[in-house]
Amino acid sequence: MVANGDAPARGSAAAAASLRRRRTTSSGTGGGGASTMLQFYTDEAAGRKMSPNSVLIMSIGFIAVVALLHVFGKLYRTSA
Amino acid sequence: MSNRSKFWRLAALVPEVQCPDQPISPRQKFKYTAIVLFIFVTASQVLLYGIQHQPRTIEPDPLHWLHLILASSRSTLLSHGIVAILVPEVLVKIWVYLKIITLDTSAPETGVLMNRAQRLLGILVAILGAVNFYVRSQHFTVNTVLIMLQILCSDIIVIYLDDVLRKGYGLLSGISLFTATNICVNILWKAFSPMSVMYPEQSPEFEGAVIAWVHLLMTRTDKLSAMSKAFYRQNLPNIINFLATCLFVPLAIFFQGFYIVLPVRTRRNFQAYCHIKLSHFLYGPVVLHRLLLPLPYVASKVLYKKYSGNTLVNLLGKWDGLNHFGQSIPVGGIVYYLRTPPILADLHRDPFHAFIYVAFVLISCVFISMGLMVCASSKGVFNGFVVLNMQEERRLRLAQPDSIHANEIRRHVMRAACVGGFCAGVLIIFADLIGVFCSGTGIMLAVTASYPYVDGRASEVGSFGF
Repeated sequence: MVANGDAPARGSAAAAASLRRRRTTSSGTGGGGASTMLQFYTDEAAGRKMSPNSVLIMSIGFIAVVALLHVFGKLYRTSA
Repeated sequence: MSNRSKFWRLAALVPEVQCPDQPISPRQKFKYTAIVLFIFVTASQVLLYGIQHQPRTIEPDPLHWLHLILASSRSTLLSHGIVAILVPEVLVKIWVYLKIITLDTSAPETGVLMNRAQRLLGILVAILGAVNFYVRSQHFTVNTVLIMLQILCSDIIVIYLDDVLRKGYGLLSGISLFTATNICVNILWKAFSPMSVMYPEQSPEFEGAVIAWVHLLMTRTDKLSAMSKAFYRQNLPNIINFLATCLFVPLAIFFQGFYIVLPVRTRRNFQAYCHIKLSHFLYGPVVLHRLLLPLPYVASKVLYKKYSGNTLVNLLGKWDGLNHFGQSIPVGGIVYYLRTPPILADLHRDPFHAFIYVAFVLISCVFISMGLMVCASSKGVFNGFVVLNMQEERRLRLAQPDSIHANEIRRHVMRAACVGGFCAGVLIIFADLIGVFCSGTGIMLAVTASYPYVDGRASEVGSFGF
């Protein structure tokens, strides 16, 4: 029973996406053309994945590189 | 189908952070959020390599509000702040409303598609930001290439930090977290900054209000004049501003708790309660009001410097740089009436100015709130405004005579949007008159951005509070 008549309240897009992804994979276990089509889209939609740790390491690495640029820039200026 | 396939292939080129395969403990969430915040704050302090750093000027930045909202710091790695994640978020919502993008809610890949579209847009915004720097510098050297690369990489890093938080590894969404952090750092800096500001023909003064107070009391023999200067100085943050900030923060937090209960009649003569939280209507007017207001300021200032004798330019705004510690402020024209009266005493000296200012702020906040409500009425976003009380849903009761039909929810929400916009305007006016740090707008931004975590709805709320 829908209480307010409209669509029920839903969470954020990310939560809805993960929920739908779970449904798709579960329905993908069955056979048939439609399931194959959905499975095809799901596989292509996966794309490349990165772990949050690699994102954090990449960010810290970039800031460290810029800081090193400052250090070497000053060393080069004093030596010249 | 072919267009979709092409877009899929293009979007698949952009890697994204994987969703957590198991629920993350709150301790680990806090750890991830702390690391992301540390990276963000550090990046906002590291200067761009290769740029010519100008000495720090006392003249206020005309884009001060933009920097607050976008959490950006000039000449640092975060020159553009969170533009790369805020602009796609707003653009996608506007496009959904204008039917440029039609959401197929039945398709399972809609959420994935929207996320990838926003990320692609963010990277495009980052590239445009880097190109914008090249256009502004107007010459091409090795330093220019280095600076463009730094800006591009910084924006991409902001995009992925937000993605980490958004996928469930953090406590808040990136936009709320970065904006709130930037404003809090600014407030603390104004209160406790150890930096000294040099004035010609005067002794140096500390920038922080509390530090200056202690320093004046310790160094001056005349305690009364020291106290008076610490409390009422106009050129730098003072103790009155500090006390006003301490008063305003609890007030803004208190406003977040308001909500209206609507008894909604469902089918078969049952009713349930929907909560319309007023805080949902505070964030939008606060942000957009301060985003749009500087535009006539900057236009008037630039025009006045070039064509100060023109009648139309004078009508728009007259500017005066004397007698204001080197700051150029409007002294006439339309822009003058849109400016906050500096102190409470000005309400008596210039009542017409005060009236115009109050009316302008209140009316503009109400209209912005209603406009945002209309934009948010697309199917996926509308339900965020009306928080259905899940506890009540299980024990539905018989319909009472005062219950309203489900079709009337929208009209009541629009009415609540008016009230919310009005409250936002009142808060802005009150805060600006008592002179809080970073203005009431900044504090309300920080409070509104952080409140969903206190409220326990952190995972449900995106940017702009819904």
